Amino acid sequence: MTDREMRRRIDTAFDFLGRVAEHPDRFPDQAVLFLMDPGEIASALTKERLRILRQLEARAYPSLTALALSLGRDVSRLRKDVMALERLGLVAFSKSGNRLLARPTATGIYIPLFTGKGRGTRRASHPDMKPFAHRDESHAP
Amino acid sequence: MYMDVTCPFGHEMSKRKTYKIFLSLEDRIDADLEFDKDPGRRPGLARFAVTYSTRIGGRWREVVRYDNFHGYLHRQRFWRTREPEPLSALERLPILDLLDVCRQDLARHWRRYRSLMESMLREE
Repeated sequence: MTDREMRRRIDTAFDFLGRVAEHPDRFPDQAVLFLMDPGEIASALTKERLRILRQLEARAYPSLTALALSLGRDVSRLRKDVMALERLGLVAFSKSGNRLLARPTATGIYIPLFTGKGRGTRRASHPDMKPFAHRDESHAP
Repeated sequence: MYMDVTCPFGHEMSKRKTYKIFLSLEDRIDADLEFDKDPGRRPGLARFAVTYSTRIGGRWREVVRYDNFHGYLHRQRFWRTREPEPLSALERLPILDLLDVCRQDLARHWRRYRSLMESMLREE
């Protein structure tokens, strides 16, 4: 990803937080947001992965095998999808004996339709606003 | 996708809001926002913690955090130390301006921060 695109996404993320700060009652208490491009979102959140999330939200499953049976899917393929969801932070695991239990970590997924414009351009005139000092960027404490 | 309507979720908003924001499959911002809810007044943002994390070697690593949850604004640069660096010069700013200073810092330096974290992990 280019530096410019990443900055745009950071701006979008902070724009979202600014909107929440201004109208907290309009936004959920907890969510996972995806600011990637449509292709990236589609490859991360496939139809089968969304089915898994819905199923996990609906009830608790004692194992991934039980979840696979309920969805009519092959266990090893389902496991790969659940692992991918865990990497995205949408699922968390716990162990019960030698069984892996998966549970959803958020109640919703949000794809903001706006893009960041960078609030800094509007606020930069404040006399106290200056970038943080960076005297030493080495990682030595 | 969010709907821009009042209370679409059918419950009273709580004091705390938590968001996990994926910038890419390898970069993420976690945000915790806490609101003051005084009777008769609009809820106002009182405290925030914003953490930029990146996925290195198959694990999510916290890189930098901006936080005023403990009563003062500070930044943690995790490739250096977990100790907070107080940013007392910015204390007087309104909270939305503080958030904006954090945005500017991250937008300008995210690549360098990530690369410093990668170097620290290589040396470990």
